[in-house]
Amino acid sequence: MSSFVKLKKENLPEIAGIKTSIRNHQICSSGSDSFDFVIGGGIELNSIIMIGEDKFGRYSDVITKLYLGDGFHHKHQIYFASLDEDPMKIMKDIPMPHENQRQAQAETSSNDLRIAFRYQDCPQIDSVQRGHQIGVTYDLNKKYPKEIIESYENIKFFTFKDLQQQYPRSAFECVIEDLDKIVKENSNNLLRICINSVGSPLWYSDDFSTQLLKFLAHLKSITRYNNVVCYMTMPLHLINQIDETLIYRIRRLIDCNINLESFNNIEKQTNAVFKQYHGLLHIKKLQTIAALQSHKPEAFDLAFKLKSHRFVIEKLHLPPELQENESNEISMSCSSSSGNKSLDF
Amino acid sequence: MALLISACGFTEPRKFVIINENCDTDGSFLISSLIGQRLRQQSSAIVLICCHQSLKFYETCGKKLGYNLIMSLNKKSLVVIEKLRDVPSMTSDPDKLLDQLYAEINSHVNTFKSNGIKNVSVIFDDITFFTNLGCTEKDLIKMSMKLHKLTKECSELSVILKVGLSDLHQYLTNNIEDLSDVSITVEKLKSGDFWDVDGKLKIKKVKCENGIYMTESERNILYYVGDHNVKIIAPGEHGLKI
Repeated sequence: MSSFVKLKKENLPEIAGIKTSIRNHQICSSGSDSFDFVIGGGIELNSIIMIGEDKFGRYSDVITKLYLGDGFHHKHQIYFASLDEDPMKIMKDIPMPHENQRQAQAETSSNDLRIAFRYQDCPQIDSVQRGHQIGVTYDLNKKYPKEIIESYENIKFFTFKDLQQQYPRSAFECVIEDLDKIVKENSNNLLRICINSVGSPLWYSDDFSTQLLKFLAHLKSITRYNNVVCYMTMPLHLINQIDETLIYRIRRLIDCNINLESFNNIEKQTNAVFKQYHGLLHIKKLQTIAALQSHKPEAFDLAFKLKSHRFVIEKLHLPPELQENESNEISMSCSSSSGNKSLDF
Repeated sequence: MALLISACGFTEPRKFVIINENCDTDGSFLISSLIGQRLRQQSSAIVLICCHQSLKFYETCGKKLGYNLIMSLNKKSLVVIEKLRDVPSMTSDPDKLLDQLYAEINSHVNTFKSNGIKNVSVIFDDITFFTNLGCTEKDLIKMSMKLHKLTKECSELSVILKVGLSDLHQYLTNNIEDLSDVSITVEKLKSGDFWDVDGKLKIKKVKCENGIYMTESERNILYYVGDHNVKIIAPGEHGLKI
């Protein structure tokens, strides 16, 4: 007898933008098809996903905007906490969906090979990480008009001003209190929680580590038992300065952790291997909400690129060596560049 | 699955089992397989304390492994204490928190005992979860000692404790290991990630003779977690076959 267990539809909430994954769990999109593909189809409902920010938070901001953009497009309830930047400013930059979804998904050019016609039928090697399922893709260059964003009702912000008003209470306490209230009121819609730069200096207090862990335990409790997905970014280079073991404790309480490393140092920027990318993507933990085993991506060596219209994740590979040597000589890998010696092991 | 269960000593009458999880590892597959094994036994009952994973997780995994937790809940052979759900309403006093939990476990065990059930298992999914809520390692050791004492008093009872991030909680792990009959450590492979192997299990069985604890056996096995089963592999089994 087959052990296949079909998911019963009557038990599932019917919410726009939610689909069933092959692992038999409800998922929603992160806004980037590449990112969804890498984490196993999308963000699982009732899970917490954490992005380790790159050094200046440039690329993690892009993923945040895509995540918020998808929530906005599907009219989900949004809770957005950001102490470092004004959340409204970030919201105004969220991308709009592509007008022609199919065309945006395909993005393939017709290669009419006239000379090397033998290679015409060979399958194209595509290192871009994306699935076959057609979802909504977003154009990073197109933004919603301000009026539409400002008139959106299903959103609540938590800013630095709110924190100042609630002084001596910590930011963690305020966020949890807000979430408890929202979750009680919201039952039919999906609540997308977005917490930006948790652990940046504005979140610090005397017992920061203890408060952070307590906050995450509380957050896990809220997300597991309600229609909630939680996304947060964390400046890991700062967290590691406080306590090197803290990241392991944090990772224990969340479901998915992906770290971004942008090429800010000259060594990596000038390295030929990394020339075509903007940074590396490190998978640390993948979600296992409804299965013993997490999704296994095709490759763990991944790099990302920020194109003008979209955020793309690719398999890391060496660039093709098209240039000839300066001296136009055929050189062996074990031979020296000076022509006198044939080999010098 | 049966091989894993027997390798871990779950089939033997061991009273106090500890599952240590090192950083970045997940031993939930051990708990899932153990629940399945215990529910299949005749006249058995389980008290499951969910702190790391929810009941829904074990229910879904159980269906994939071939058992139904909801049926057991309805039959009242399974009692679930979902501490993860109760976090928002929990008391902030760590002593009270653990005392309440112990009292709850004790009352459920007594109920099963009075119903004439012969095998009662208390499965504690991650005792270190309480360190996030302000409990110290000493509090958790006290709790473990109370549970150990309970196993001595009650012949039908066995306790399975999972300790997350055991390599970061060395003091706690060492103290609980001293009480255990079997200690299983879930480790990552030192050589990195591997497609066919997810990690390593270190299984140490201890025997008590005349009040002296002695190591009975110690073995390492590799494991691979699939969607519907868990495979175990002897070290060196995978490799080039000429």
